[in-house]
Amino acid sequence: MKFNMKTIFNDTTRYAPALSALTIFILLSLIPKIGAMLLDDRLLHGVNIWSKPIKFDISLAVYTATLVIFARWIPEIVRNKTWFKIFTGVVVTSIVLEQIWINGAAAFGIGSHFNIATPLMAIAYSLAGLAAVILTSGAFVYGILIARNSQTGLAKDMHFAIWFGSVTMAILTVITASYMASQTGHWVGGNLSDVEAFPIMGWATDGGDLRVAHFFASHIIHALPLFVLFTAWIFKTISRKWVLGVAVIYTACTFYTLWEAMSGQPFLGFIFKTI
Amino acid sequence: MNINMEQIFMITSPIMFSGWLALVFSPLAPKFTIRFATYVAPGILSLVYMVLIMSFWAGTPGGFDTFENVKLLFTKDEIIMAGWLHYLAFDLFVGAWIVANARMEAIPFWLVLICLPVTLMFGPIGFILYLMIRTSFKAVNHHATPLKSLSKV
Repeated sequence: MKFNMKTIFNDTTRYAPALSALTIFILLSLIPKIGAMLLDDRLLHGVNIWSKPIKFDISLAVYTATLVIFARWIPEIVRNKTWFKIFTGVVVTSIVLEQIWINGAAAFGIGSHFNIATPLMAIAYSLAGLAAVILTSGAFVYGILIARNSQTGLAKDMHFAIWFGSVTMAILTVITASYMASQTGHWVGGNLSDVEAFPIMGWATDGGDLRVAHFFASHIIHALPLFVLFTAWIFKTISRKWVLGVAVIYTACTFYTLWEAMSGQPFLGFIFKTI
Repeated sequence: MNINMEQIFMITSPIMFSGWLALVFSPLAPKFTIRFATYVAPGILSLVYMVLIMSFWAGTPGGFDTFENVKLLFTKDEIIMAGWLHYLAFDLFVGAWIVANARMEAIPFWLVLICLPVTLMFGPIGFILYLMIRTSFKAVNHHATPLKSLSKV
């Protein structure tokens, strides 16, 4: 079997050229930001000012790459419709504006989310909220379009996991993120600093952190298809009930982490209590 | 001749702006505007630069060998003005290159429009931004249909 990276790349990106180009652009934009992180001593909440833009780059690139991969299961006739092209353009624009806001704030050494210190930043924050809902709606629309397509060529349960994961991702993300946005910061209790934090993720270890639930909410889009992939691979069998079961448990866990943060407790707090 | 730097600044700024304006409207008359922004406007700015260096370089303290010496170069008004004109001329030249290159690569003009103000304000960042956009666009270009509406060839 010939394993040709270029063919795989072309075969993946051709279904969503705009989102593919955006994914590559976001990944390229990581290079100067990593350089800035090494050179820039400014801190925000105790951590390097560029660590947040870099985290957003990685998560947005994962999100857009996911949509690129899923795009092939939307019928070509739908992908070629004007409304779909405009919708894609709006999603891409929202992501770009979100990036400009987060990176611009970092360059000026100020916060982006929860920053309502000046009228300009307050307006920017509320517009960014709108952009965030629009960019998340991409997964919702993709999910619905894939659900309605009976000719995806996917196994029944994989088809279900992909569209159901996408739709649930959008709903759970909007719920968890808008609850967080209605607060004054991502911490609940604790010392309001990002210094003593969960490895890599940066979540608070001395109080609640609302970003945990947002993280899990957003990754159900990966969790369900990966569950089907691995279960089918290892057990050679899969059923829609299992997928639904995992979706229910996963959603429950997501809401548990939300409740946990709301009540001021850190995620996996028992680990950090003993250290 | 007694001419102060403020006057040179006042005279050269519109020349620089005319070049950038030409680039913004380049889809309307590509041949003329790109030539103007590549040769005419940067050419005039470079000529003024050349005259300043010919007249004032001798006797300027400093040099190119250390950072301290480079800082010393920029303590003399005429040399600061020359340095400024260097920025203006070369940033514009790079802006014109971006427009011409994007036409050749069939990159939509609205993507170029994003790069132009950045190149005007922070030259190298605009250049990098264009290279990033070009790389992203070209990677999937053979599937995308370039927007012809704004970039009539």
